[in-house]
Amino acid sequence: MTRTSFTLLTLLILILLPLAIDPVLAEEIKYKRTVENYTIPDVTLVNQNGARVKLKDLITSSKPVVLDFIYGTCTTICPVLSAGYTSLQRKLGEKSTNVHLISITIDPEHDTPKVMKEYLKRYQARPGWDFLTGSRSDIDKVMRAFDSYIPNKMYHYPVNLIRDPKDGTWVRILGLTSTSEFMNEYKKAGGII
Amino acid sequence: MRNARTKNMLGRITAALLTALISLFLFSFTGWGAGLPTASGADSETLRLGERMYRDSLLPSGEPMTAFLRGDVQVPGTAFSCVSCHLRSGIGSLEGQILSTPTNGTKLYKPYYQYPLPQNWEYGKVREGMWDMPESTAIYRPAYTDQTLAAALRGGVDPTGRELNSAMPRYQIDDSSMAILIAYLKTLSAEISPGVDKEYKYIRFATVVAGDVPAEDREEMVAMLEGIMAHHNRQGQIRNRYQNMGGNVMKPASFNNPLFTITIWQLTGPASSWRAQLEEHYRKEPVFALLGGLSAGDWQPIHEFSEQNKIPCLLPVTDLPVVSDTDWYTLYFSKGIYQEGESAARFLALNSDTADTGRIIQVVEDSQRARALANGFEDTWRELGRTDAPETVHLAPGETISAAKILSLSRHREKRPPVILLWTAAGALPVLESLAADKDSVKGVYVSSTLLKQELWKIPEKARDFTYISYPYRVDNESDFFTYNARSWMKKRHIPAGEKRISTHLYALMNVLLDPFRIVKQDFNRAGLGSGDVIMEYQFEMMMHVRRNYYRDYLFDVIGMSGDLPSIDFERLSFGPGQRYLSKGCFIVQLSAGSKPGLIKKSDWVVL
Repeated sequence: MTRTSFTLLTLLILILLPLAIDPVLAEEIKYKRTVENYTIPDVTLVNQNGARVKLKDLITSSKPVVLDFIYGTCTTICPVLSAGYTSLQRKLGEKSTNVHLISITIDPEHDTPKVMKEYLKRYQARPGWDFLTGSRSDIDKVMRAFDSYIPNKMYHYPVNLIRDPKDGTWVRILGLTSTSEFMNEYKKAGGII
Repeated sequence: MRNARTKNMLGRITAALLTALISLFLFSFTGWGAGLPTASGADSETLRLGERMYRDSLLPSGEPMTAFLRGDVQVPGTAFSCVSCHLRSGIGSLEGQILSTPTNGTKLYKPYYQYPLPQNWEYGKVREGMWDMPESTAIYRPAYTDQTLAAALRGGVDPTGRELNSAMPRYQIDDSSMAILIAYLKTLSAEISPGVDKEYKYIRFATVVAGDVPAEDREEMVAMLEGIMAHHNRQGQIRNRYQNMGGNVMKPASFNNPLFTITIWQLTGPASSWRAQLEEHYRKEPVFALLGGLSAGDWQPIHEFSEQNKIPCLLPVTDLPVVSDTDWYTLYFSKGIYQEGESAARFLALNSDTADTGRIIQVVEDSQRARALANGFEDTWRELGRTDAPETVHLAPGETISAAKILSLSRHREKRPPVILLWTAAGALPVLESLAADKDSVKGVYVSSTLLKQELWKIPEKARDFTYISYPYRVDNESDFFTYNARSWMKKRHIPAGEKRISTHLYALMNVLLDPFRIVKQDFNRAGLGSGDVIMEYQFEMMMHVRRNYYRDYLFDVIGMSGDLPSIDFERLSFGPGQRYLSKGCFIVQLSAGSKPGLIKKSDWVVL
């Protein structure tokens, strides 16, 4: 093999190696579903109204809880996750508070209550959907507790967690689901439509 | 054998490129379909309406666009505008594991080719035949036409009949609105931005020095910017040499690593004349972007020049930026001294409820910095829903205030001790001295480290426990690896590091400016092999980052996708699409006791 073609091949290898992402047009991967137990950290976060809330109190309720990690200026994943919340709330209509939807920011420095409030407005959120921020160290604790630690928000991946109020277990959905899949999982975890 | 194969493959790539060129050429003559305006023929009103559809999801009628996600779910169009995924430049985004493909006309209206990925790929193992090239190079997706593009936007199906990813909404757009959107897409990132050499050999930048800036500040900034340019150029030259080793066949001009040049635009005379001088500089010497920059006044005239001419300005060193939620073309380190007022307000709100704050007396000296502090405080205080607005005393030029006067204000009407916002440099120390003699007379005094400068360290010992200082920098000692490396880098190049932190701030350009021009984004390797066996040309284009996509808007799009960065001066620099102030924090600190006091953190970096 001549030196030239070796260089060419090296170049090609360098070009091909990083192409390991899912092309948008390729067949989509199904989401991954597991059932987990999590210990909720003892942290106080701030909601879209600037109110301080204890995460534990918020989660350990008799209602089903759905939790995800998003941020206000996210481009691709968060809008889809949030659209899932919007459609669930639409289906519930007046009874939107039957389930507690919680979004936790992974960009706490930028996502102030003002930013979070505007975000919820953009998604036509109804009562029952809270967006929480907090100190960087508290947010890190929460991400770790839910096995969703994202050291850098650009490595963000989609996770939905659904808590069954009966036994406190969580259904963990890794990957983007279709709305009907999301609804099914929600119902399976004790959610009522 | 291999040589023959390689040549064969090269032939095919050349043929593919030729086909692309020919189709582009043909398209440019065949028009874009019945009754639709052409890119060049679209009038400014059409483009304005198209831009509004793209960015705000509003139909020409003003109604929000209706979109469906995953078949049957109607989603708020306001949350699913084109720009939210495909970004301002239309080149697309990569986040987590989702790639949003380019939507600018030049890329939509050309075919993509597919190259099967070598099978049995396994990290670290080379297998027999794994780098063999495919037997054929087929078109993955033909060029869109206006009709197939409209079908894709409405029905989510590409020209081959393949369904688009379900993260892509399906929009309900009538024919005439569709024509407007398509006309806009054709003008989107259609031409390489000014300041870029036609053969991609160099990219021109400028830095603005506005007004009477101290000579040592200017020197420090210029030394740093030149150091960064030289660093980039040295690496670029090495990469260009390496690429040329391959016999130059694989390397069209657009694969050059352009070298950077920078000139200084010195503005003189009154600030009112700066704008005209900037226009004149730009007319003589168009640049791709402005880097760094210093001003004797506020940054507004340069900000407005950038905004109106759509010229990026990256990281001017200023305490007085323009604070805006929507402006696009200037990327600042922070909101400057305004941010200190903001943090003081949040800290005060957090540590006192409405009932016990008592009165707030705000003393504002006659300077832009003091007024910015007051604005930062007042805007945030209001935003927090507090109605007990501070009572403000505006000092005349050269006027100082005494503690007696402040206390007379407070004792006059109310028994509870007030909180004092002391936004003044001159006379601040005597005020603190007097207040210390009568501690019960105040609840707390807020001062700004930026305003006090070195006076900060002279705050009287007795006043330290009730004086809260806004401090927008890191507090811990600088022993971390990043800072050590950065300082060594600067030292080696004899770049001065003065008290105003000009060069240490600008070290951030090593990432903010240079990363977008590097070839491969680091997190591409993280996702593991995709499910498809197809590598599409647009992935190559995404990989090239700003290379081959030398559009100013794309530079900002890429910066918006950057990960968080460490910094010598700031606790953290963070990014996000549309975010324009990188450092979001400011500590509230107090001085420790003793003649050589240290800083004691009283708050988190970001006060919520």
